[in-house]
Amino acid sequence: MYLSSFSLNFFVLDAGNAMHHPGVPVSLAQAALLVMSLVLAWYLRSPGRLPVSACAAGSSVTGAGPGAGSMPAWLLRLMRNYRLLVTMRVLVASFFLLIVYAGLFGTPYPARNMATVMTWTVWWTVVVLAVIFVGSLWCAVCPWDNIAAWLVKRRLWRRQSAPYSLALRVPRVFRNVGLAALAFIVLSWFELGYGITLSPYATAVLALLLVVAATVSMLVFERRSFCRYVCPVGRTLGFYSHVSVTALRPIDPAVCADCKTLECYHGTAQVDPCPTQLVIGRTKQNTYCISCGNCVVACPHQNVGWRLRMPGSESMHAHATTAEAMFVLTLLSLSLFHGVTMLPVWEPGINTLSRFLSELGLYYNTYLASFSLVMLVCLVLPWLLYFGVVRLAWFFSGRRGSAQQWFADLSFVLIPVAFFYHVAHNLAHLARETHGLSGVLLNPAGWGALPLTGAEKHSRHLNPLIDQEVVFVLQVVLVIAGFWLSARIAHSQVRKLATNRNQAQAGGQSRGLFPVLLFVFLLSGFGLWLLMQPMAMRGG
Amino acid sequence: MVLRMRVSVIVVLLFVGWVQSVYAHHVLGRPSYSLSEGSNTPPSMQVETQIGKYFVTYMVFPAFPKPNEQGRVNLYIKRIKDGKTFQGQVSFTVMDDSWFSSNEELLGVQNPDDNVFRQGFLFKKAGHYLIRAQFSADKEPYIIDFPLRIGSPFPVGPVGLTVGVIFFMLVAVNVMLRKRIRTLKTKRHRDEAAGMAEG
Repeated sequence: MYLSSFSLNFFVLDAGNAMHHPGVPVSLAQAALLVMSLVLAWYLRSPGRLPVSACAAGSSVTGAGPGAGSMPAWLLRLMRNYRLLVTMRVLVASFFLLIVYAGLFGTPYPARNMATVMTWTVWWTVVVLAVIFVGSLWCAVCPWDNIAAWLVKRRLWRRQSAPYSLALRVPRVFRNVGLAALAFIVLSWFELGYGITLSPYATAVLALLLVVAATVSMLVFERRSFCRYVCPVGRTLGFYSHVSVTALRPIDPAVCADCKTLECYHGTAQVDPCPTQLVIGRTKQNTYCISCGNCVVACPHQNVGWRLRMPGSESMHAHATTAEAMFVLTLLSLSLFHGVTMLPVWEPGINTLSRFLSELGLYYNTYLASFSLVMLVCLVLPWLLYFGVVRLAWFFSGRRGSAQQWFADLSFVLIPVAFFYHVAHNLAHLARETHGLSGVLLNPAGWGALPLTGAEKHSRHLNPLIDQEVVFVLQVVLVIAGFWLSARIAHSQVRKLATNRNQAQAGGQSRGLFPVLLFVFLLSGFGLWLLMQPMAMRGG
Repeated sequence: MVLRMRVSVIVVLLFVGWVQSVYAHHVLGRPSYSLSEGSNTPPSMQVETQIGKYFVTYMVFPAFPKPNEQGRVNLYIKRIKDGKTFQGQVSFTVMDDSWFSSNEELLGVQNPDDNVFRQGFLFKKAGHYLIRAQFSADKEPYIIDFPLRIGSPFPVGPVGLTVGVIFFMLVAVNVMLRKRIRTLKTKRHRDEAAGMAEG
């Protein structure tokens, strides 16, 4: 048995027994598998027929997709109110600074300190959950970026006319999401391996580090390069936003098509240009939009607003780059890996591996070495499987188009599976671990607070925020929704790729679709299996 | 009068700002200079945790030991189920807690003394170390790592570092931008002068 505490400031465990949340009951999981099998059969039986909505998505100029509709006028007016956005930014930044303060100077007990509770249990759960409704809206109020902007530009809002940045172009080799993927892997390593979620101090240090990174990037590189190329949270939300029901899009695409001035891209005398270099009229996917609202305010025709749309409609016909596909694969691997690390067998398994490595002579910190090794395997395995599936699909479809394009475009199929599993997993944390939130809000730094006792943990366990049965049903519904959306996207993408140059034969298309759908089915099934297992409570 | 008041306020504020935080220099009536790792009530650092079937408390005396100064680790190991103290042997090893370091040294093997496993130490160099306690119970090996810092911590905290880096970058970029603007102005003047000469 092995236990490591890396630094006293960083890592103090609460007393009491480790608790495990119960998993989804077998009967519910069986029902979910049945529904998923029916969906699978339906899509395999009708390979040539494309759902009506998906056809419409293909003809959509803006990418807002089928069923896209405007929001009520009062809501649009509210969203165009820049003062409201600035007020929200100031409030979020103030709260962020309070969290940093609590983390640095408060109690080291994670369950009593606002830094760990608000960051890992509340924020990281809510921000992903909110993607369904508001896409990447978090990025608009993100404190790292906004504090950096205020420091660099020395004003709360409005465009800074005097030069404030060296505005260098990011080197070509880094002009993709490779750095963001790497940052996400490092962040996950710190979260699950190093145990940053159990350390208020380390959480606060990480927050400050991100502010420094955003500030330095803004001072040296053009626009918001940090947001576009490096930020793991922003890109995660960006890719997840493909399944959001809302997006910032043109209200009338024809107006954007005729526009010659492109204020959304260049900005105006008062409003900053698009931080991630998008022309809203030509935007066909949400990956890089940070919902900052500059285009909404800058557009002289008031032609940009939040639009309702069918989730995943943009992914059905969108193109991706290889780097973007790698990011999506990383996202999927790490989402599932989160679930794996909370299985009851995880700790004994890692301890056994640690001991084995220790016996081999790799004495120093064998726990982290073991963790890193297993993490690497969990990262690489889905990549290899996906690569094999794509090759099969490409081969069965008569090798139409390039295999690389298949690899890139089919990655969109994985987004709903990763996203809905992530939400289902986080829902359990949110429902069962936010019981003492009011106490933490009243005493953010946890001064004078004692560690969480076994009785308190038990009480929290028995009194979840959402009823346990409701959580189970929601988790199962989310997994089914993820599979259904993935199947829809797979259906459209395979059809698009198979008919790239010549009209495809229905048979080839069906054969190409089969391995992809089966892979998605197995992934969803694995996600469901993970949700069925007892899950370790965060913080022991 | 107003000026004198202002000066007084500034002097008072400066004085208040200058005052360092003061630590208690008596523990239960004993002066600080008589405290050592052998004292019965020295200031200590404590970590509590659980591993397997045991609840473990780790204490370091003094709380922040210095190089070439005697120190001691106390370890209390109790079975969670019945609160009974572990009666076997515990071996203590130490290693440098820096990345990619594997220097390891045996501190000693201890039997329980009044239900406490005591291990003395003396470090010559300041730094971050890991104390590893190992014991075997119910045919299962137990390994626990505890942190130990020798000497003063890094004088600049994360807030200081953050402010420092951001301030440095702001100044550096500002200087570069001014230089760039000056160069552009000079170039423009030169071009204008050349244009006038041609005209």
